[in-house]
Amino acid sequence: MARYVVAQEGDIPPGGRKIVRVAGREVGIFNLEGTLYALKNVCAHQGARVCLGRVVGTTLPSEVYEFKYGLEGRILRCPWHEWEYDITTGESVFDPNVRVITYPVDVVDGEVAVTIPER
Amino acid sequence: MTAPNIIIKEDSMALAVEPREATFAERAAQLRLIDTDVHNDLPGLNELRPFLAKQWHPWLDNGGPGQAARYYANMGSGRMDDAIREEDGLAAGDPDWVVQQLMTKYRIDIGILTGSIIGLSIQHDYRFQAAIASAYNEWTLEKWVRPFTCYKGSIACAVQDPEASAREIRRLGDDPGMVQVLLASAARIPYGNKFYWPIYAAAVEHGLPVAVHVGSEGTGIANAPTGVGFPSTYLEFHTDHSQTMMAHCVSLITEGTFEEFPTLKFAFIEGGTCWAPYVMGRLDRLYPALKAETPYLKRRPSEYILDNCYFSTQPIEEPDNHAHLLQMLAIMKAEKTVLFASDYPHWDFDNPLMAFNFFPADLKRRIFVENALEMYGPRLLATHGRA
Ligand code: FES
Repeated sequence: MARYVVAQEGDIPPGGRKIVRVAGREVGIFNLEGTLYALKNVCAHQGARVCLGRVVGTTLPSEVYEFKYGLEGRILRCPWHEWEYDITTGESVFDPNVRVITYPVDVVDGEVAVTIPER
Repeated sequence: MTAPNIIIKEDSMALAVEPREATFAERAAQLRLIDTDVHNDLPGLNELRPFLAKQWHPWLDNGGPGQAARYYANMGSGRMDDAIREEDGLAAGDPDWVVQQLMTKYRIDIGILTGSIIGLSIQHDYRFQAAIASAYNEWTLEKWVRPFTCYKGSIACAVQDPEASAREIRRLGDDPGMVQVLLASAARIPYGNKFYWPIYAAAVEHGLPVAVHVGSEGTGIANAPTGVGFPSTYLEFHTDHSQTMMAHCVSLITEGTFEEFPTLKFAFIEGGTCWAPYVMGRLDRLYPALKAETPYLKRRPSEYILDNCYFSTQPIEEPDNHAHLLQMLAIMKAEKTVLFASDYPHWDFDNPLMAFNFFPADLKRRIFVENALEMYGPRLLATHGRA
């Protein structure tokens, strides 16, 4: 495990994101209402830079002919084939086993750091 | 591309280099990937004005002609959002941008342009559409193909008027920048029908394959996208894409098109691949029983598929078990019949560096390079720059 400082807290305001290069990979840091999440910038499907995707909401599981829209601002939609991931967990919305890799992220003295496991 | 012809003296020093054209085989050996489906964008019909005769200009003046409305689209932008260029808001509006975003990134040597205008063949005003097709072809050559060695064009034509299409094919058929004739899968009549044969006669005359690309089904004057009518979601529509492909393919075989034009090569682009084994099996099973109806078919139907037809990978089927896909590909002899296509910059793009990782190397090489070379022939490598 190694901890890398990747940004200043002010760089990523609520609703914002920043993509950083750290330990040989790209990581997207997202600020959802004050909480930070770090996702590896590689889509589980065909490897697109998923963190460049739109942050959206989605239709939640529902009855037939019913639509429930929710999770606004919490869903990352891959720019290629539109697989959708929950930013807070990295899990896709259609199969919890399909996920983007996530990393622990913390803020100490205004410095944002992610922790990356050793290879 | 030139290969140095090095003359070596006894002392092994290279003394003189006489450049000569590399042979087809030498060039072919260096290729890594041929992409048979690159959608360059037309920013707007107005771009075609310089290539259109005056009588059509009024059509462009007042906002342009109405195109078939309510085509099927997905919820997103329909494009790879990460490939959009700020200057024009397009993902493939600029040839240099596509070199960067697609050709270089994914190590593609040659991209076959399939453009963004196939829907013209299901508009009602076919005379105007024939003019648009010619203008579009000129625009493609001028802006994309001639200045760049890595792009080859497709001849767009107003398929609803086969005679006009044939004229357009003959007009451009010897241009080394054009490598195929392009049809939309949206149609009023299945493509094997004699109605279309003037198009195939012209294509064969010039050694051009014909490609049918999915799109525009259910709009304009085209039939519904499925045999049972109109889907209500894009999920339904997109899944059913292979239906139109199947219908055209079976029609081409049973109408005897490949008997009439034995050298005609037909490519099915963006319909996926796994429907082909089904068609082969079903036709071969029925043929002995129903042969009296089609006495002009001299061979088992699947042989026409193996000898005259090609299928592009995209969107490649992704079963949980990779072996299942490889088995389907084996049935359709993918080592002869399947071509790589990315569909850049559309949202259902396949990443060539990832989507085929589990393919055996020799099969991958066939799909990535050799099959396309066989289908398009030497024209694919011919120099096509401005004279
Ligand atoms: S690469 Fe992300 S959805 Fe396909």
